[in-house]
Formats: sequence, structure tokens, C-alpha cells
Amino acid sequence: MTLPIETHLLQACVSEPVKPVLDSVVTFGAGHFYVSQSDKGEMVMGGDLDGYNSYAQRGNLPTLQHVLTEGIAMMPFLSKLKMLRTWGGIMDMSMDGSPIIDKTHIEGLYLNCGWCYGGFKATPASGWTFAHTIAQDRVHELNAGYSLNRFSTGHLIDEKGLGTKTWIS
Amino acid sequence: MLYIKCPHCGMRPQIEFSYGGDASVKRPELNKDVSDQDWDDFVYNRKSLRGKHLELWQHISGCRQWIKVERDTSTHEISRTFKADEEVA
Amino acid sequence: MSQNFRIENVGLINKDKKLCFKFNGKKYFGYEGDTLASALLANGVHLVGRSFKYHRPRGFFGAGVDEPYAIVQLYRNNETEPNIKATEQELFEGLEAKSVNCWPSVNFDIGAINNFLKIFLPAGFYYKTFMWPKSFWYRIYEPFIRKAAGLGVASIKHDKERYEHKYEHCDLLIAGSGPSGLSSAYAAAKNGAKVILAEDKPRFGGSLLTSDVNIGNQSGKEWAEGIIAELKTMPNVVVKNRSQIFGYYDHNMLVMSEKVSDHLPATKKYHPNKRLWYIRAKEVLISSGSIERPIVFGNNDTPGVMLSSAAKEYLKVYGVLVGRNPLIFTNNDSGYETAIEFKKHGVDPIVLDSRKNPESEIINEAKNIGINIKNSYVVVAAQGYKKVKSADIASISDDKKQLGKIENIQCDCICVSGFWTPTIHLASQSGNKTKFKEEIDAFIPGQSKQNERTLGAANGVFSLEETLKTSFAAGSELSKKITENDNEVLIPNVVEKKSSKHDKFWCVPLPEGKNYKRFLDFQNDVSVSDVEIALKEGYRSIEHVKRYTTLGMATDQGKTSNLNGLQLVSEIENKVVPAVGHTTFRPPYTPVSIGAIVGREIGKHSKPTRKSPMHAWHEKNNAVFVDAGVWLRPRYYKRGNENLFEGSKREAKNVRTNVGVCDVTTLGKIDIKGPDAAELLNRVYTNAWLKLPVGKARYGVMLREDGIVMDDGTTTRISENHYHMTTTTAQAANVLSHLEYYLQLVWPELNANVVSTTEQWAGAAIAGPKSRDLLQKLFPNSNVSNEGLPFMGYMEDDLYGVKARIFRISFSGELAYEINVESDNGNFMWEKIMEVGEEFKIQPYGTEALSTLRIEMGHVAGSELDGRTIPYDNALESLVSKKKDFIGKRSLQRTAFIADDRQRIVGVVPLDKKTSIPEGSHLVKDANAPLPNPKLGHISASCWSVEYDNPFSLAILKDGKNMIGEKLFVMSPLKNKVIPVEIVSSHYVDPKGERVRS
Ligand SMILES: Cc1cc2nc3c(=O)[nH]c(=O)nc-3n(C[C@H](O)[C@H](O)[C@H](O)COP(=O)(O)OP(=O)(O)OC[C@H]3O[C@@H](n4cnc5c(N)ncnc54)[C@H](O)[C@@H]3O)c2cc1C
Ligand SMILES: [Zn+2]
Repeated sequence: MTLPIETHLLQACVSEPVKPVLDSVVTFGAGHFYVSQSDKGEMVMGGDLDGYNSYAQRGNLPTLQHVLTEGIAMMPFLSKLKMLRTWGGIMDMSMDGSPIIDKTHIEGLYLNCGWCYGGFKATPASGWTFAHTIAQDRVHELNAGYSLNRFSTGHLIDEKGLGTKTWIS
Repeated sequence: MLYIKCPHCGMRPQIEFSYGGDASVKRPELNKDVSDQDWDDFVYNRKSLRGKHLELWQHISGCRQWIKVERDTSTHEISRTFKADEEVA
Repeated sequence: MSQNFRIENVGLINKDKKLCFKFNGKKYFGYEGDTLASALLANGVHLVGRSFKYHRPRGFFGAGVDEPYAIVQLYRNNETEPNIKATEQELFEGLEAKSVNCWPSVNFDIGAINNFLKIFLPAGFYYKTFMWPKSFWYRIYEPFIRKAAGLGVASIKHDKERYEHKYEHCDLLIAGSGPSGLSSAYAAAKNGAKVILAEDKPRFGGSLLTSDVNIGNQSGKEWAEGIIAELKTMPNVVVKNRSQIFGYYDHNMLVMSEKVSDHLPATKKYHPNKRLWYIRAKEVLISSGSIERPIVFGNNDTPGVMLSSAAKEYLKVYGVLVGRNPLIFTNNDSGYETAIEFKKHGVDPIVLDSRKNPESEIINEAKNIGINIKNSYVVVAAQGYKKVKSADIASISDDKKQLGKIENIQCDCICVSGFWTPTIHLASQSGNKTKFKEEIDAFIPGQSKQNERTLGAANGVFSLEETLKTSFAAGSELSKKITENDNEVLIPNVVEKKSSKHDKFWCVPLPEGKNYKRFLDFQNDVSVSDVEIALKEGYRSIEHVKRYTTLGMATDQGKTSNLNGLQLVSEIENKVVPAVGHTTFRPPYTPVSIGAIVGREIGKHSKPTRKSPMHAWHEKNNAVFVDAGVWLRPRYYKRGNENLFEGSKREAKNVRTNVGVCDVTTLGKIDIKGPDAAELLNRVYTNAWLKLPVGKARYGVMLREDGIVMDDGTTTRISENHYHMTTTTAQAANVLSHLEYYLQLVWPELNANVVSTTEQWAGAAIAGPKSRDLLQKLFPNSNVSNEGLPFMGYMEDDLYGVKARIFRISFSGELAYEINVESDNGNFMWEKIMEVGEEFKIQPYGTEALSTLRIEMGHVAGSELDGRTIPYDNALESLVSKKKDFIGKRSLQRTAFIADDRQRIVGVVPLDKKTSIPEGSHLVKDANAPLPNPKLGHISASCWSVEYDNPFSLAILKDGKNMIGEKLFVMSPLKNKVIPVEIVSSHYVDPKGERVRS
């Protein structure tokens, strides 16, 4: 089975811990940047993909440079902090930016994938609807839209309008 | 940062290029009937290989040529690069 | 205050230059060449901070990057910076620093209550203790934790410092200037290779600065100085101190952070604070040395307990005694070297060696000079709260399980050596799979992954002779490969003392009945018992243990703690260390300035700014600019106190009644030439292009292969095989790549070429009922009548001696023309238009009026062509050819795209004809329906119609075709608005399009 998914690379980083300065998550959509402060005081930051297919779980600095540039554009004080840790992980980019939670044409094979940037925060709903789909062997109305065949039918859930070029952002 | 050998210009840093995805994807010919499956395979479905991956890059801040790059997606190692019209054996 | 712990005639500091500084408000002095740490120690200050979790007193543990404790808030040149390692910060005149993590003061710290509540904060304390009840998290636990969080305080001011980037290529990049780095650099340089030698510290030489060795009949230090001096004279060599290679990235790209100004009271004018080097190296030699690791014992975090190598460095480099009554606790010969240095300077140390009968040259020397040595002895616990006062010591059995009777001995510092851990970070970052070397109980690099090689102590080689031999050889061999020179360099003879085997012993058992905290990670307060708990609770993978206990996750990233953590896990789990494996090393090696990573591309420089050739005119005429991608465009031309709304309304009205002129230079322009140019257009656009006559323009829409509209614009046939395409401002670059993609990869048989000409042409749109009169005056020799230059017509003429292209196209829905001249003549054209247009009451108009004009005409733009709509959605289906094939056509047949109730563009008017409609609002049937209220569509663009003098919007609405006349609600929770509206045609003004053809 080939899926409408490409495997990409996303990095994130944290600064050294500092006393509380930010009490919520801030995202900067146009600049591809998000930041929040952990309870330990580290600023947790991330943004763009490195931009090519990858399973390597290692990123390169220019992407972080770009992400942090956007960060400084929004919060200039970040410039005086130091980047403590970085990491890179695998990102299952679906072709319309939304996940697939569905049965497949193979009996007993179910899909819950293509989460792109957002698979952590969606875990409860993703798990619940997936469990329903498996247990009942049919999708729940909440995940009906996240079907695999939406690409064939054109019922895409494209929040950003990037279409099939997931690496462009 | 990747270091890519443009077959026209030589070794250039990745920031001069933009990525174009899986080079094995072939556009169906114009004015021919295409099955739904073939069309979806062309537009959406990707092999997303782990390992050697033939892919497209465009040297946008250089010669503006589209090139083919054989790169290992598990290590980022680049083994070979080709001009757009070069056959890849 | 006098420097009680400084000794005469020792060290590499400049005693002629006294520097004043303040720590926690108190004045001290030190010397040029000191670090903040050495200067404080010289003044007898050992208490510098509090630990993260329990707020236990913290002193100095190391003398460099591995420092876990001595983290301060720095004040420099009216700025403040958090989390500075006192061991790395060089002293400058007027330096001020404060302790972090303690309130109200480092001596009396309220957070230290945690120390007495430590039962409350074991491993995983975040995960367990604060979980239940749920409501407590927000109200009690989180505020409590947050208060304790963080180290220093972030300045929230703009950073005034400048950071530069530099890109370099070299043959050999060498990380670290100890004996291995120096000798390989020297050998490579002699072969003519382009070498960059980077040293993290201010001084070159690495271990040679502190070790008692001879190389080529000189002291190690003198030899290092000689090599550096010679390297500096060579044109093919760059040597950089204060420069750390912190990341090893793909394809032998390494990144180095150079501290240019941190050692100065203020950054010099035109100098950067730091410089980031992106270095592409053909070969990399990692000569980053090793870091001493501690032995774990009770209260081993008490100020005064420090690495034995640090004590030696403070003495030999800075002339500072870290104590006058030192106790040295070691499992190898390194502790003896420190003891010997103490002894040489009149201080009597006691050495406790965990080994039974070690023998070596070094030990003999120690014995010979009368150092008190106790074999099979260990420190059980340090005593003293804010500073070591004494130590509980005991003999230990051969199997290291039984302690003898505990004795207490006086001491004012405990210098520990648990042997050496190679600094393998860079090798590991390169992708090298490291391997465990039994003889040294540590990991060393394995098979090279990229073009990297690790030398000397970083490779687990602790003999100087061996290091020099392999390093000279590596430098010669690798450079020879590149330069093909083969100049011989003589390997100097070496005198070093032979040492004996270290003891695998790393952790002192707890004595019966005692429950001392034995720390592994000193900054994050992770103790032996924390790791034990984690394992008891079922954490197995070292990555999980790390995250659960936070071992190795502090700002020192576990440089002194990781290996001992692994030892512990391996002992409890009864596995060998390599089976436990270590956590992944990722860049950066030490925390790196975010400002430096970003460099100069900040603020206005974060993206290039593009300006049209008429920009200066706009500025002079009070244009208020708006960002359009990277372009700056006039939004409106402010008159008097006008606001945006008033100004744009005036401008738009003037277009509808007289004539206006708009700078349209930013539109993308692509020149297409070749016999197959028409065929290319025919495949790219949805409509037919093969029959467009020369001298005519046509509007076209192009799709992506998934059927979504990519862009629109007009293309004009300039001559037989020459077309001029325009794109939207935003998509210009993408459209060019798109065309190149198809020409080069998909249809290489097409004989056509494309090139961007956006920069080459300046454009002015003149629009309004009087635009033809104006055009006639501008081009008196041409026939610009409706017959001479019909709608979508094209001609070329001379504008007062300047070549001009004239297109009869319209975006405003009015009779309109676009004039293009070569960019250099743009301003001339503009001024002529304004001058000649005066009699027709011409006014310039900006993007806001431009939007108003296009919205009320129902012309689509970026807000409708948003990457989610197909031609039908934009009422452009008449442009979709049924006959020919084109990019994306096949996708248009998909069920959702041909559904009866497909979304479509409509017009929206508020029922009260007064309330403006926020863009992005949702259209709903019932404003009071329960949430989530089903969304029928969204407002894509809004304006104040100048034709009807009321608000008007465009929307993409489900089943839009059948909704005309319906009454719906616009909801904007963001603006807290609910507006009853009527759905009308998107062609609000001149629905038949008569004006453009008039
Ligand atoms: C750097 C980074 C930052 C992120 N930040 C956020 C964020 O802030 N918020 C957010 O919501 N999301 C974030 N995400 C995305 C989120 O991590 C993912 O969407 C989510 O983890 C996906 O969950 P999953 O269960 O689908 O896959 P994964 O979490 O990837 O789990 C897949 C598991 O399958 C295992 N596996 C793979 N192949 C096999 C096999 N053949 N047999 C058995 N096991 C196999 C893998 O080892 C892995 O354990 C981030 C991702 C990255 C990389
Ligand atoms: Zn090129």
C-alpha cells in the first residue's frame, strides 16, 4: 500500500531555563514559529520542516536559524538566551496536512497516521476514535472526515492550502 | 547543511536549492485516459522510501535547473546527482 | 579585599592589570586573564549559587565548560544575561554578577526549604506528586513549580548586540588545541593544507597548560606556544581562540561560535558580539580532549568539592589555591598530579586512593616529596553546609563493598578524580556509532561516519607520546591526500611520567545507618536514589531514565554525570555499560547564543525589502506602506489627517469618477519565448491559448495538478514567438519554478524558454473613466480609441522618448490601461503620468483602494485563490476548456469538485448597510445554534463599496450558486460580532462588465 504521506524531518529546541516570562503557548503562523515555557523554565521552540524526505532523525542548523529568526522577530528578547538542546524527529506529512484515521481495504488493517506537526495534542481524540474504528470495524462520525479515500474524492481537509507539496511552507 | 553537486555548477550548499520530491513520480501523458488509481498515485501517493531515494531539487539560486539527486533518507548521504534529462541506471 | 588564595609568581594571568568586579553586590578585584571563577576563588568565595531542586548551596565544581554549579546572572554594559558559567566568563573591568536561583540571597535561601522536604521531590516528582487532584495543578502545584523554575532572569529588552555569520571552506578543521590538535594542525599546515584550528578557551594548549611534561626539550606549554606562533604566521592557517565547534552537521558542515567580545567590558563599535562560522571541511580532526569525572560519595555537592583537574588548573593557570588544607580523593594517578602541584606551592594535601597498592612514576614522586597517601581509602561524606569543613573517610574492602571505621578529618576542599571521559560529542554528532572501551570505562568513537577522525584523549588515548605520534601522522596523511605535498615533520621527543591503571571504582557505598545524598547530576540534583527509584518503577531504557530523573538534562548536559549514571544503571540492572548504552549526543556541545545562530537577519533585515523604482516618489507623497510579501507597496497616500479608511475611499472614488494611477511593478512578470511558447501556455492555463493573435492579451488561470487554482494573470502575445506573462505578486517565484519544472522535466520536447522579468519592468496602472483621455495625451501619436486599442489590446509606443508597452487590461473593473517601461525609466513615467494627468484630476491610489475596486467588481485575488479553491469556486468555470487537456484537469472530475452543492464565491451585504464585516468571519444559518455552529462558508475579503456607499464582502459559501438572496449571519467570535447579512452576486458593480469595454 502506498499512502498519501511523505516522511519528513522536524526539529525543535529548548533554551536554557530562565525565570518565568511566558505563561502560554504562542504560535506565529505566518512565521512558522511556536514557543512556550516549560515548568522548568526552558523556552520550547520549533517551526518549519527541514524540507526534504528523511528518516535520519538529525537536522541541520539553517532550519533552526530560520525558525529562531522568526522567533526573534516576534520576541526580540530570545536573542539573549542560549539554545541548550535540539532534536529532530520523523514527521509523517500527509498531503493535505490532516491525519488519516480509517479502515483499509485489507481486513484487520487500520490506519492512524499522517499527523504532521500535531500528533501529541490530538492523542486523546485520535486514540478514542481509532479504538472505536477498530472495535466496531467502522469509523465514528468524528473521524469520518479523516478517511483515506478523501484524496480520491476531493474531500480534502486542507487547512493551509499547501496541497501536495508538503515540503513547501 | 547538505552539500549538493549540481551537475551544471558543481558543489553548492543546500540553501541554494529548493526541494521537489520523489523523482520517480511520472506525470501521465496529456490527452490520455488515466484511471483514478493512476492519477491518485501521481498526485498523492508516495513511496516515501527509507534508504536510497531519487529526488528532484531545483538550483533556484544558481542555474535554475531541475536536477535529480540520489540521497539516502536514513543518513542524508548523497551518492549521485544527474541532470534533468539524464537517464538514471 | 585582599586575595588570600592567590600565590605569587604562578599562573598565566597578567598581574600588572588589576580588574575590579562585583559579585552579589560586593566589590572584589582580580587580574586580566582571570575567569570570574578564578577571581572569586582567589578571594576565597566558594558559595556561588543554589541547586535547581533542593536549593542546596553550590560552589565551583570544574574550571570550564563542564561546570554544573557556578551559574550566574551577568551584568555588562547596561545589559543582563542569564545563565553564564563563571568558569567560562573572563573577567573584565567593571564586571558585575549575581547568584541565580536563590532568594532573598545566596546565604539565606528560602527555596532551601525544599532540601528539608526532599521526601516530597524524588525522581519523577513532576509526573507523580503534582498529578492529583487535577484542579490542584493550576492553582497550587504549577504556580509553585514555576516559581522555582529557571535559573537566571531573561532580559526582556531588545538585544543591542550584533552577531555575524561567516561561511568558510577548509581542508582540515581541527577542534581543540591540545597536543593532538596542535600537532595535527602543524603537520597539515606544513603540507600546505588550508587549516582552521579552533580552541574553545581563551588560551591555546589544552592539557599542556597544566601538565608537567616536556616536548622537544621544552616544557609542554612552551612547545605549544611555539607551534601556535608559527601557525599564526602561515597564510594557509586560521587559528581561533574563544571559538567552540558546537555542532557537527551533515556533509561535513560544522558550526563554530566565536566569542568576539564577551571578555570585554563592552563590544567595540562595528564589532560583533559573537561570530558564527559555518565551516565546510574536507576532513575533520576531533581533538577535543577529555573531561575528568567525579567519584560519587555522600554530600558530594558541598561547596569545596571539585574536580581534581579543576583544582590543578586554578593553581597552574590562575595562581589560585582552591584550599589550604586539601583532601584529594582519587581512583587513578591524576589526583597525585594535583597533589604534587599543591605540595610544590607549600600546601600539604592528603591523598585518599581507592586502590590498594598502586605504583607508578607519578606516585613515587608524590611519595618522595612527602605527600601523605592513604591507600584503600575513600571519602564517605563531605561535612559542612556552605563549605567543606571536614570529611568522613574510611578504608574500603578490596571488593569495594565494606567500609572500615569512619574517621573525620579536617579539610577545606575535596579534589576528586574518578578518571577521564573522552569528549566524544562531535564524533557522535557526526553519526559515528561510539563504542565502549573497557580499559578506560568510557565510550570512544567507533567507525567514522563522515570524514572525521578523533585523536588523543578524545579517542581514549591518554599517553602524550602516543597522542603526538598519531596526531602528526593524521595531519600529514589527510593533508597529503588533499594537497599532494609530503613534507616531513619530525616528531619531537617526549618526556612524561608513566601512570598506573585506574580503579573501576566510582561510587562510595553508604555506611550503615546513614542516608547521605549522593549526587550524580549536580545541577539538576539527581542522586543515586533517584535513579534507583526510576529503575524500581520500571524505567529501563537509558533515554527514559534520563527524562524521568532529568539526569544529564541541565545546562551542562551531563558532562560530568552521564557516565556515572550509566555505571549505576548497569550495576543495578546487572548489565555491562555498553549494553545500557548512552543517550544520543546532539548539537550543541554547550549552550549557544540564539542571537549568534540568527545572526544579522533580524528586524528589517530578516527578509530582503524590495522597492519599486517609484518608491522615492511614493515616500515623498506621504504614502503609508504595507508589506506585500517582500515588497513594500503604498497602502494609501495620506492627505492631512486622513486615516486609512478615509484615504482609500477617496482614492477609490476618484478612480470610479476620474482617473487614478497605481504602482503595479510588483506583479510577477515572466518572458516566454520560443516556437512552442503557445503550446506551453495552452498546457499550463485552463483556457485555450493557441489562437491568441499577436498584440492581444488574455486572462488565464493555472491549476496545480490537484485541481486547485495556483495563480491567475494576463499573458500578452508580444510577437510571433514571444509572450509576456504576469503573475500575482505573491506567486511570482512559484509560477516561474512551476513552468521550469514542466519545461525541463515533464515536456522537455517543448521548444520554449522562460525567464523572470519582474525586475526589468516598472508598471503603472491608470484606471477610471478618464484614463483614455490621459492615455491619448501621453501617447499623442497613437490611436488609443476603443477601436484602435480595444479591451485586451496591446501596443508599443514612445513615452517622451522612452520605450513603453501599453496593455488595455483592468483589475479595477473600470476602463483601464497598464503601462510598462524599463525599470530605470519608472520614475520618469510616473512623474509624466502625474503631470499630464493633473487636468483629469488624477490621484495615485494604493493597495487598499485597489482591493476595494476589485472586491466590489467581484474579481478574485489571493484571498479567494487561497490554495483551497477550484475554478468553479471562483466563478471561473467558463475559463476551463472542455476540449484540451491541461495541468490539473484530471483532478477536476473528483466527486467533491463536481458536487451540486459545491462552494462558490458570493457577495455579502449587511442588512443594516452599515456594519463592516470582519474578514475571516464565518457564515452560519442560525446565529443561536449550539456550538460548534455549522459553518457554511467564510468571508474572504471585505471593503466599503464606494459605488453604493455601504459595506460589501466576498465570501466562499457552500452551495453559493443557490444561495443568492438568502439571509444568513456572519459570526466573528474573535471580534465578538454577529451580523445579519444578505447574500448577493459577487459582481456587485457593473455585473455585465461594460465599463472595461467602453
Ligand atoms: C520535533 C517534533 C516536535 C513535535 N512537536 C509537537 C507538538 O508540539 N505538538 C504536537 O501535537 N505534536 C508534535 N509533534 C508531532 C508528534 O510527535 C507526532 O504527531 C506523534 O508522535 C505521532 O504519533 P504516532 O503514534 O502516530 O507515531 P509515533 O509517536 O512516531 O510512534 C510510532 C511508533 O511506532 C514504532 N514503529 C515504527 N515502525 C514499527 C514497526 N515496523 N514495528 C513496530 N513498531 C514500529 C516507532 O518506534 C514508534 O514508537 C512533534 C514531532 C516532532 C518530531
Ligand atoms: Zn546549478
